[in-house]
Amino acid sequence: MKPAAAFLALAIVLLPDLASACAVCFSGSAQTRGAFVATTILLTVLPLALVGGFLWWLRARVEEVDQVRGRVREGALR
Amino acid sequence: MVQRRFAGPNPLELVENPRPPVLSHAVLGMLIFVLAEIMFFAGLISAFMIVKSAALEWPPAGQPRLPAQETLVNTGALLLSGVVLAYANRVFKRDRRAARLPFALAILLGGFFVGFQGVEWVALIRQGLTLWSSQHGAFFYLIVGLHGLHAVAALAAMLWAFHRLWVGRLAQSTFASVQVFWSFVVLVWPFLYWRVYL
Repeated sequence: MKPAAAFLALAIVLLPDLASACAVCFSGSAQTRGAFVATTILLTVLPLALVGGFLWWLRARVEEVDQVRGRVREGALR
Repeated sequence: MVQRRFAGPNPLELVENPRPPVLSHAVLGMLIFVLAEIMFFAGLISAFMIVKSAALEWPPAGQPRLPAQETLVNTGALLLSGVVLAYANRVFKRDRRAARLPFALAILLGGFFVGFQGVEWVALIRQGLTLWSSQHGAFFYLIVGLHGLHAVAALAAMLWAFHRLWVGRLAQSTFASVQVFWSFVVLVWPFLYWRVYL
């Protein structure tokens, strides 16, 4: 084995430190599990609610514009 | 005469153009930006909630408590600025000159909020709460700091819009998009206050 390869192999064995596989699995308490559940619900429901709310608002706005358009046309025909 | 309640095309445009957009491009773009920013803050708050739930003591030992009562006054000023700006937009649709005063008041209240936050930060740094002092400090400056950055950007947009109003060149759609931005800054704050300060 070449010296460089031997040095590299030794470095790979000795240098790494302990690492957690999961960056957020540092606590298994009931409170932390509850926080995980709450934030999962928040991050799941919030985008759906935002997009749904936007579409609902847009639909109401289209209806409002149509109403104004209808009233303007009625006025123009008189 | 048809009463206009929204920042859309006026009735004459509706006669000339039967299918105008129901929403101006400026407002639509700002809404998309705001929806993305809401998710950004939701992610930050989620991370904060998980870290806080795992802590044995919060705030950590040796770290100051956040001034919740003083910030409540500041929160009131921010909410009031949002209400005043909405009122200014209503006035703007009837009389553009009359909208100057409530618009200026909304900017002043927003400026008060940002200034008060700055004073609060100086006091907290003096008490030992820094970005590197603890997770408490790191999350506080990250979340509240990013909100402050949004507030400063929205204030700059309001000042620019106010200048255009002053010289008589402010379009309704521009006013509406600035209002959407400021409303986001105003409405996201009570949630941040509840999670971070209380």
